[in-house]
This record gives sequence, structure tokens and C-alpha cells, in this order.
Amino acid sequence: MTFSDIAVLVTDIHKNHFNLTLDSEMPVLVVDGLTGSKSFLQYISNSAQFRGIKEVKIFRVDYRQNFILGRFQMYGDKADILISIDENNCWSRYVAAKEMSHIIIDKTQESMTTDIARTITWILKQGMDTNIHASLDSEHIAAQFAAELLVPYYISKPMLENPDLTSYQIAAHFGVPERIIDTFRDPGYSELRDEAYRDI
Amino acid sequence: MEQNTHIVSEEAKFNSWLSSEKKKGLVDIKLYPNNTSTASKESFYAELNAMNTAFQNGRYEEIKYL
Repeated sequence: MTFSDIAVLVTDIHKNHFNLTLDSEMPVLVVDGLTGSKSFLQYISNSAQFRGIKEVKIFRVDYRQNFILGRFQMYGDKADILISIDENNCWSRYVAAKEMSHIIIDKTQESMTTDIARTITWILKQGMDTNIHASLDSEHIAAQFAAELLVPYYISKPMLENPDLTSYQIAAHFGVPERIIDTFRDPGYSELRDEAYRDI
Repeated sequence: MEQNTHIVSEEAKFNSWLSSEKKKGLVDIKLYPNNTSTASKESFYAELNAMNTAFQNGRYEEIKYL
């Protein structure tokens, strides 16, 4: 999946599921019991094409977190996402969005992981983190997809280009980690982003 | 009297859990690591096991709005 593919899919979700406009609130990931509200979870649950997932539950888990912010587990038609209780709301949203994105982007058997030993060896060797400007394997595509989902291009662009707004203020507006906004403001990344959305 | 001690590594403990979950239908597991520069294999597995223990002991809440 290329950056342009991500841009097309995310824009479709923003326009046709969330009905986002320039004045819209930030995209909500999970909402329970609020009639008429749209969420990304609802989008996944309503879209049987995504690996046949019928139920996704997200939990804040109380463990001593040092190295793992969250994890995703899929059992047949159900998926659980576990997030550290120590994370603030912005990080929780980003971790949840990234893990939920796997349901959409991982379409082949090869992208599914149960060989945890190999995964951990790779993580410890690579020092994988939340860098969304890295080579586009499944993990980084998910990270990039999550960032694009939570910070809609057309709404964020004028804010990102406004020197009077700090990255913290923009991050707070969209409910994402400040690190994401800093990346979006990087001239090199900004150029790639403009290119990805150019014809949409 | 000789004491019979059997130390199970964190990796073995997690793999035991993983085998049991595969029997329950687990087909995919992904991790979101962060700042693993000081992590060892054993400490990383220990944290995975800590997540399992917390979950099994009910130290969690389902997120209803995010």
C-alpha cells in the first residue's frame, strides 16, 4: 500500500463515513451509546470486507508499561486491542487507531503474525518506534494510516502552515501525540503528503 | 533437603500462553513497541506476560469513547 493508496482510502472514510467538513470535530475512534455518532470502529464493524471482523473491543490495561504501548490480537471474527493505562488520551487514540488500521490494511496471510519470537527479534534489532516516515512495511503503513486518519489532510493543512499555532495546540485539537504534528510539519514529509493527496 | 526449583523463563511463559490462545483461534498478534533501546528479550517478554496477568486478573476497562 503506497502513501497515495492510504490517502485515497482515508479520504473516502473522512468524506463518506464521517462526513467531515472543514469545521468538523476530530474523527472519533470509539463511541458507545451515542445515537447518530460516527466512529472508526463502527466503520470497521460495518465493513465485512475487512477480514470478516464482526467485533472489536479496546481495553485500557493496567500493567507496568516500559516497552509496549499496546497490542492487537485477532481470533477469527473478533479482535481485541490492549492499550497501556499509562498512556494519555492522545497516545491512546493513536495506538488504538494504528492497531485498528491493521484490520483494514493487512489483507494477506503473510501480514498476519503469530511467530512472536521473530517479531520480537526484529523489534529489538530495529528499535522500531512510532516513526511514520520509515519504510512502508505493515507496521509503518498502519502507523501512517492512523496518523492520516486522525489528522485529516484538508482540515489540518491550513493549521500546519499557520506559524501562530504551536504543534502542541494542533495536536490537542486533533487529539494526537505532538510527535505526529512535528512530523507533518517537516518540509520533506509535508511535500510527500501534498503529493499523495494532490489528485484527490 | 534438596529443593526442587523450576524457573520458567518469561519467553517460555509467554509461549505457553500463545499456544493456548492459538488453540482458541488466535490467528494474528501485533505489538506496538516504544523506546526499546534498553529492552532485553527477557524484559520484553516479561512485559507481555505482565499484560496477560493484568488482563486475566481483571485490571482493565473497556474503552467506550476515544
